[in-house]
Amino acid sequence: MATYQNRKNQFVDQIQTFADYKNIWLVRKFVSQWGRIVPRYYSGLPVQGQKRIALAVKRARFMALIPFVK
Amino acid sequence: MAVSSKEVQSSVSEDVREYELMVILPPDLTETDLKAKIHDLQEALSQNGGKVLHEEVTPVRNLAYRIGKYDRATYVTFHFSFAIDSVQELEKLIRIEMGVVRHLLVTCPKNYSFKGLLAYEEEAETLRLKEAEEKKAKDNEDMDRRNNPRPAPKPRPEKQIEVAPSAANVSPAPVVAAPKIEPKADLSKVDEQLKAILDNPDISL
Repeated sequence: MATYQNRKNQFVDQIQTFADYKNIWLVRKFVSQWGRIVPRYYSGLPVQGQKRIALAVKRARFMALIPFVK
Repeated sequence: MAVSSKEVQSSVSEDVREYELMVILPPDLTETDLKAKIHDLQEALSQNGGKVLHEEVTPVRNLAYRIGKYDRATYVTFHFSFAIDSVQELEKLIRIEMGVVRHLLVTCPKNYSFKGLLAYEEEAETLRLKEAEEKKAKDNEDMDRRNNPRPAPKPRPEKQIEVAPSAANVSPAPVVAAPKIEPKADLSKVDEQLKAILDNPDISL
């Protein structure tokens, strides 16, 4: 999980155009230990990147790839 | 789930667009039933000039949470192009008639290259190994630093003592000696003045 200390995000390039909900490894990086979407304050993403990731997380949850709540 | 219109649309032509459909099928299907169901889906996707571009079937896997009575399921993913006007009908057909546990139909972004769940998982495995190696290397480095005592500090470079100029070298020695005598003479004068003040009967101390 991203933390405030390392909030400059290393995945910015990977979601430049599109964040795939099937990429569970990537999606999990933006989910807290309780299964909630990590806020931008911690994730260090630009606004558009955060929106893409949020959408991917929601889709992955809907398809039971990651849990809604832990 | 509704088709998201927010995403960037890839326009193959005006009426046709690329979509991706993920379907959760029950785990208790026999092999022939599963094949028949996938065949039905393919037929549904290739009607009205639709075309299946990629397809992926995963083995039965655990769900993150229970859906109905299932906690395991088969995921089937299709990447296909389809007429924009008839997508809603297609979704209705899948929802009502195909007997799927859950489905997700999304539009593909521009220049989308299909990558399935299994491909992503393989990639994730290599990345996980890489991460683990990096962490191990870092831990080892930290342990080394902790176990080995700090190296002794380097000795400070000694200050160079200024060598006094030898008498033979320079001549200013007599110049320095001359003012040394003067203060003595001054002091005796001051003493005298002080004595005069003390002896003066007009001044009471």
